Amino acid sequence: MNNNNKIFQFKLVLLGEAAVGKSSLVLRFVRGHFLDYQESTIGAAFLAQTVCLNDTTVKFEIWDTAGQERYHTLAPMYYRGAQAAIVVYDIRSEDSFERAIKWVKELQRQGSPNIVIALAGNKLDLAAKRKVETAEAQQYAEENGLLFMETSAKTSQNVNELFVEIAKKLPKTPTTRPGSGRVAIAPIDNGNTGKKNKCCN
Amino acid sequence: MVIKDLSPHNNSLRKKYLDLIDYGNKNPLTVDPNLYQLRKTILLEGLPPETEEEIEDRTKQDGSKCSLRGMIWKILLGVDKIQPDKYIELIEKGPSNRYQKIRKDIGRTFNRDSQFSQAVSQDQLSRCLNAFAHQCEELGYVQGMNAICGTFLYVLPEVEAFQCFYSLLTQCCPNYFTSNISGVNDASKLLDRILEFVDPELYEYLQNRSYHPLLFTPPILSLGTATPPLDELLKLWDFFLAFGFHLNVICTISQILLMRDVLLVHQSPCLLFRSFPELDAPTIINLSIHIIRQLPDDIYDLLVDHPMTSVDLTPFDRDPNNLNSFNGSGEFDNDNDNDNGNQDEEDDDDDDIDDGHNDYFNDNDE
Ligand SMILES: Nc1nc2c(ncn2[C@@H]2O[C@H](COP(=O)(O)OP(=O)(O)O)[C@@H](O)[C@H]2O)c(=O)[nH]1
Ligand SMILES: [Mg+2]
Repeated sequence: MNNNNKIFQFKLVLLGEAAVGKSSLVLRFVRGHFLDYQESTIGAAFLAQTVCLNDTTVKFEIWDTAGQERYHTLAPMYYRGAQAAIVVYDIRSEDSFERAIKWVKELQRQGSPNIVIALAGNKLDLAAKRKVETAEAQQYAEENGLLFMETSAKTSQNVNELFVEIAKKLPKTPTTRPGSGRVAIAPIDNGNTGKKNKCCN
Repeated sequence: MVIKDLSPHNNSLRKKYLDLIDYGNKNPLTVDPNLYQLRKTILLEGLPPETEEEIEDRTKQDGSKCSLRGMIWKILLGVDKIQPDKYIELIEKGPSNRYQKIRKDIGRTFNRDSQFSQAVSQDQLSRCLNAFAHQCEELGYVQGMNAICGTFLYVLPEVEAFQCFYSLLTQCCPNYFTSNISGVNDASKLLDRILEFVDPELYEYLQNRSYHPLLFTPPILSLGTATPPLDELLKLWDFFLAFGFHLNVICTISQILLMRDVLLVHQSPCLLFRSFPELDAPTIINLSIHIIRQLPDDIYDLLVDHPMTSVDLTPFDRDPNNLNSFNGSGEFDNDNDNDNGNQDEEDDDDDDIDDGHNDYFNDNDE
């Protein structure tokens, strides 16, 4: 680990239709594994993972937004304050691509002003059943200033790359994050909670 | 369904918990970091689904009820020594002065849930509540305790359930049980302020349509037990037991927000609060964490403290008369006290009570 690196922390949200593989992408990126039968949400609201660039370390606080597909009016609550978003679709589903475009529009309208948006066509390992052409998505992404990649959470193809590209594109200026701190994940080995917990010991 | 196929992951998660517990037992000096790991795992991964053996064991009257969830709950509540003698002593005291009251509520505890009635007998429930009324005369029995106690009996063997129940009521959220239930009033005020803070639009809409903060006392008093289904409730309780029952206030707000679309087009939205939609624990928890993130520190600190200590909420008082209509008898039973057996569709298996907490969220900022 490069200790004298600058560390920047960003909130990143995943958006997209149900079952396109949002949680799987997060788990692949954070834990390095893939489950064929991903449960409908991971238990956690967020996970953390860092990406090391040349001279900086970018720490992502990744919010996998359970329920956002069903409770759409709540989505702003989820993406509020996010500096980056990955909008995911399944390359086998036109509908999911349409939905992704709607998310992009919503983010551009209502998200943080300089939000970095990446469009991810997931399930690339199933390209034999592709319905959304790469060129089509690529063009849409370019026209709208999005990062774009086709990924597979299953084979891990382009998953790290996607996060690295986002990390590169994020502005590395010190920012005060809204709602800092609470509920953050601490590294495994520094577990002292400080406050005495009356309930639990 | 896919449940079976999930087993490799579930098994490794289960093993992770067992390892954490084992490590904790062997390293009692590092109890804080050990607990920290346990809580963190609960937050990030939840508990694995119950195994078939656990489910089967629960339905047997003489089952051991030795489940992973039960073990974890005991740890989180600080219940380590099991004291059957003490419990038997309490039972031998016979009916307490609250016994009649207790009996009335026994039969309607989770009475819509067939799994519950298979797992928990009415006798167990009345023994446990009656023993509590003996042991803790100040708190005695109030409506709603039945469901809280029932939840423990569903997950744990009787003696351990009793001890957990006792620990929860007396240590985690005593202010929800004092005779004036001051903690519940505080919770209502906090809920009111936080709802306004996180969703001003919805708040204003409700305000103009018979809204009153006391509408939400049933879910608060009941610690969530008033809303089915029980298996989702258990997941909420995993979260509450790990991080504090003050979170029930936030989770109640999440439930309100999940009804948002319907509320905003309803002529009399407050009628809908009579019963919440079925619990969807992962979504509720997820949203709750988002809400917590946004809260100003001063409100959050008060929230964390309110189940255990009196907090000064006067800065938040808009209308000092607002909460005075509350009946201070320690009982919140608007609709179901004289239950005549004919239940409408929301149920009140119970309605009241409490909560405790651990102020956990506060401290660890990576
Ligand atoms: N073949 C394949 N399946 C995937 C991939 N990503 C996710 N899945 C599967 O798609 C389903 C839904 O994934 P999930 O991550 O839960 O989607 P979410 O609802 O968007 O979070 C699960 O059965 C995953 O195993 C992928 O890249 N390739
Ligand atoms: Mg998911």
